[in-house]
Amino acid sequence: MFWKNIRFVCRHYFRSSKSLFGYLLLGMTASLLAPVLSVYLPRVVVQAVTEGWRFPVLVLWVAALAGGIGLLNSLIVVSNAGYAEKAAVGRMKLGLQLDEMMMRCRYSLTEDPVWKRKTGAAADAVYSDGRTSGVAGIIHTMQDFVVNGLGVLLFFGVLGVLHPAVLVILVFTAVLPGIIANRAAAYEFGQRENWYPADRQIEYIYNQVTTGKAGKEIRVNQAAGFFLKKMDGAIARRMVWVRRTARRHLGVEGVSGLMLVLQNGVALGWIACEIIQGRISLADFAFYTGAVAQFVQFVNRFMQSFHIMKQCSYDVQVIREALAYMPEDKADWEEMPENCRGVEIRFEHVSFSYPGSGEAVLEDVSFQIHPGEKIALVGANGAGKTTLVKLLCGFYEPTSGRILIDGIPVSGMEEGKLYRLISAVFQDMLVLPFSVLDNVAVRGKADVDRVRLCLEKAGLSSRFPNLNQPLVKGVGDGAENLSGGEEQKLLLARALYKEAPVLILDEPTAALDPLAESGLYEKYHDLTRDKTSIFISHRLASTGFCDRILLLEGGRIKEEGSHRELLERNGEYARMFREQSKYYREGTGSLEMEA
Amino acid sequence: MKQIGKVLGLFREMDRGLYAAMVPSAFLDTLEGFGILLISSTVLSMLSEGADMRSVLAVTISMAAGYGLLYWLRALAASRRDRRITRLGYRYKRYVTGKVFRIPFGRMETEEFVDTLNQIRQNDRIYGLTGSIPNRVYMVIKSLFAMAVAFVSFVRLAGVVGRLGDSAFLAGMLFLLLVLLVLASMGYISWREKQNAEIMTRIMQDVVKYNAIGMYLSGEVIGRYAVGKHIRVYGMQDKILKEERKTMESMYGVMGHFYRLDLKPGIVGSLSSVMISGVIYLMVGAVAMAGGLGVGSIVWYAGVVQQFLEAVRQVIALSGTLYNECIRQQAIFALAESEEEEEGGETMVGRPAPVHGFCFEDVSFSYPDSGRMILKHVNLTLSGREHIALVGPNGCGKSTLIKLLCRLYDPTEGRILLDGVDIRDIPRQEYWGMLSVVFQDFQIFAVTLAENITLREDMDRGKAAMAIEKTGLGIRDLDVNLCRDLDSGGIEMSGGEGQKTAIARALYKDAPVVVLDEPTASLDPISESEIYEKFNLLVEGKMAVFISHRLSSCRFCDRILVLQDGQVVQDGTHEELTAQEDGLYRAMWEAQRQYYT
Repeated sequence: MFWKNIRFVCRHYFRSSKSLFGYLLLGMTASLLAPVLSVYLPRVVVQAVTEGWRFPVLVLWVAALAGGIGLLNSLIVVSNAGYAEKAAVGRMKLGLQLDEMMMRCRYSLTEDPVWKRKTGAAADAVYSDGRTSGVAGIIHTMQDFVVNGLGVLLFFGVLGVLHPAVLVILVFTAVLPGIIANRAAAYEFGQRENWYPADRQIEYIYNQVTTGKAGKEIRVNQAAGFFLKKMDGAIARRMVWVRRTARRHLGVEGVSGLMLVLQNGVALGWIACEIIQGRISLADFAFYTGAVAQFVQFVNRFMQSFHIMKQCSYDVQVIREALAYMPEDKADWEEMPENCRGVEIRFEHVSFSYPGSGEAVLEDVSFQIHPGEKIALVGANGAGKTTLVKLLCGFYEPTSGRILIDGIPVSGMEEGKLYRLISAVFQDMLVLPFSVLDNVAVRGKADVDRVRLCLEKAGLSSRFPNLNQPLVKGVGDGAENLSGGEEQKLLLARALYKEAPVLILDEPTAALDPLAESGLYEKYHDLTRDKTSIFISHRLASTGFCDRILLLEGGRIKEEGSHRELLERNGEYARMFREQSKYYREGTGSLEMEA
Repeated sequence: MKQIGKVLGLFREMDRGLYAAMVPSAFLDTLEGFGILLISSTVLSMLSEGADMRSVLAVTISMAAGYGLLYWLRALAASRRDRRITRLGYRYKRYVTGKVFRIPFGRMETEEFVDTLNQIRQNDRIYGLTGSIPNRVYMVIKSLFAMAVAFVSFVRLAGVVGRLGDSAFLAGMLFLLLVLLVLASMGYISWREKQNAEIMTRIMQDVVKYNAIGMYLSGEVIGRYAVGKHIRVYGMQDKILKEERKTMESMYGVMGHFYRLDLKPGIVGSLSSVMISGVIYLMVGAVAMAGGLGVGSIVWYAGVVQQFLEAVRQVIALSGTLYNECIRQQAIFALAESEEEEEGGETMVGRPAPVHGFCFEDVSFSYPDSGRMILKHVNLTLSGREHIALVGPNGCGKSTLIKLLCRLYDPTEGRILLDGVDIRDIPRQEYWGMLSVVFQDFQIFAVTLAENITLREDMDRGKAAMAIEKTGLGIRDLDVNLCRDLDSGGIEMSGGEGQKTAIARALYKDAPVVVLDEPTASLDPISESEIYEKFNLLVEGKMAVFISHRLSSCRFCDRILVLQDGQVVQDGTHEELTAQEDGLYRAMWEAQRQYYT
């Protein structure tokens, strides 16, 4: 798994920028050679003094060494800059891929808490900027890993003059703190579940406030203090864990300190002995003490980078798992035949419950909609109306039974084919931060005349004389916000522009004033000509414009028929209708309330 | 310098003891840095003077032990320091949150404010809120200590050189060269960094604008999973990705520029520092060759001078980068300096509830940054116990009038009076205490049901339960979390349940003025009817202002105001208005009624 992740990152980065590896190689070579040269510098000076060199000779030596080190360090700087830029680019590209997955995967996944968690974790891993985590971390640490590994080997050779026991102690004292540190880090990571919720709460409150959506509500309800207190609480909880982790770290540092004592005591002591016994020269003291320090550093960093790479590998794993949700083929839409006169929709014994839930939202629902027919779907909240629509759009699969469009089952249909058939105005609204034109013609090249026509049909042509007007205030110059009713009309224009044979309207008049609402009903036949249409609404006035009404209750079709037929049947529909029309009847005067 | 001071002051405000905690850590860090140097130079000196094995070993081991202890103490202080810095990060978020609450709502929608907030969020995303400022400040303090310690040694070296006679000349020349090198490289680097900072600021400002679209798409479109339905059905992916790619490309350019800018000072820095090292070694070597220093002292002085110059370099370099980082912090000062909610002059304490009435005097209003007049010369009197319906076509200004009444904005012209007092003179918190509001786009928060209703820590659970019952909300568990994302045991409510919760919130608050903006839009006919039935119960004895497109609800009101194009065109009871044959109300009423009879 570890190597697969490394390969994944390498492949991704190589694809996005070939020069990245050139920079890395440059940096690695320079990082390896520079410490070697710098260990010689003090030695040369001591040697010059103890061996009585002439000053100009020393100058030459120092110049050569310093020049070499300078050049190498500059190469490191260049390589770091080049690397950083490419790494950032690579990271952004991954972010884009993740976004694409979020938009193209099966819709049902986006309501699945597992998917949400994985996607959130993947986003964190992609966008984390540090050099020790996420995607950026792996590339950088890989470089460290190789450099320090080679450094260890190189200096192992250099220190060959030392007694093997000394070398063993050096390695041991360098390695042990590393192992303990890794254990501590793993523990901290394992404890994540304890403090992660606190972090999320802090982020939640911070986001709620700084994105401005909840601003009105919080102010008018004087809830600022409440949220600030919650934030304070979460911060306090988080700090408890910071302290706990810090205490553990101190334990690790204690061990490190002890090891350092051993290291310095043993190494220096040994070198001193060798010098006293005349086996090495005084000048070599500076050299070997420098080399020992360098060796230990290499060992430390080698271990650290290995550990970080494992961490980053985990992050990469998370990203790969999330990207795996991307569907195999992108939905490519085919062209609609010219004279499409609506399609037939059939539900055959469809039952459905949400994954993980035992409760049936729809139970044994069967009905048929003929081509060009207009159906109204009514029922109390939670009766299953929106779920039925979601199934028709292929967002979920029925638990049993099947849904057919023109005789073809929806389950097997390619997304491109299915979506080509459907236009829908859903209850939640989406206005894109683009121009009016791009908000209506959201796919492909815009047909300006058709856009204007659709805006007119939706009742928005006077509001937007300029189709290039950007929407969504704050994003883009001169952008405007739309009122609730205007948004609803815009969505209708978008649905009309698409000219699909099936038109679904879910509460399309909720935000419209009476005149606009009535206008919509009047135009309804015009708008839905030649289309098969499903209209969901609480306002039973709209049902009069539909050919047939389906009343859903408790996940089942309780009543079915035309408006007239259902009134005569005097069942649930009739009751709801009477209830709503009650207030519109004349003669009721100003209503007396029973307290 | 002033910029840096401002930011440092801000951090101090967030954590009084921050800098004090850094001092011991910096001191110990510095000592530790000289520790190994001291040990090896001492041992080398002993060796060159021909000391015996025993004494060398004794010194080595005891110094090593001392060093180990020092190391651990340093770690202790560093741990304290790190924790404080982590905490600072959280406190910074808290600070921003607190500040945003105190910005007048009207300002929050101005392009200027949105930009500021986006900048802060962008900084957070890329650098983290505090950036690396605290750590850099720490390094400056550490470097100052190092300079102090090294300086002492340095003076001794100078003394030694002074006594050397004519070898002093060589050493002196080298020293001069050293000083020149340091000054030249430092000068260049800090100049370069200042240039870079200016370039970066300009670039970042442009980027924020570009990035606003990208961030909006990320957060409100792609990140809002529910609208994925729209994206798929309409095949919006291509257009959205195209826009994101554009944003990304602009960011590439910036990033590239950013890293390339750092190249020149980086290279000059590394070249100059190695040259300086070389000259130091030569200088110390020259003195040693002239017999002024023992071999051990070579190592010591070379190391010390190195450290001294390194510290000087750090201080200068850090000032440059600190400066850059502090420029980035500008956004938060823009935030802090935004007008805070002012406290009014006259207090309303002691004024009896319910209120007697509101008066709109020639009120006109347009949204900030917009020229369009939404309300035009509105004159109205609303008395304390009336139930008033506000109706009119889309865009007529109903919601806007409500927002003015809720004091979320101030009128552009004219004024609003409460019992004869201009509401701008009433402290906002007090004013808001008199309103219970259900907004059209009400928010359900990721807290428990009871907390969503009471929005308080100390709550009256019985009262909350009663409010729930009054609305007919079927959920009984007061402590269930209303967001399944943040709490796996939580639930997701339907639109209708959410609306009932929002109504319960208004009920719980039990304020003398109730404002309801489309409170039944998400409810089915039966639930809607239930709310209407209880309408009087809900607003009994209070003043109520009620917006609805469903004119049936107007029958529950004493008075109906019809708005059109920002003006009140009709005002009366249902009977009076339906009698006005040419009136807008009658047209709307008939338009809706026709389908029900």
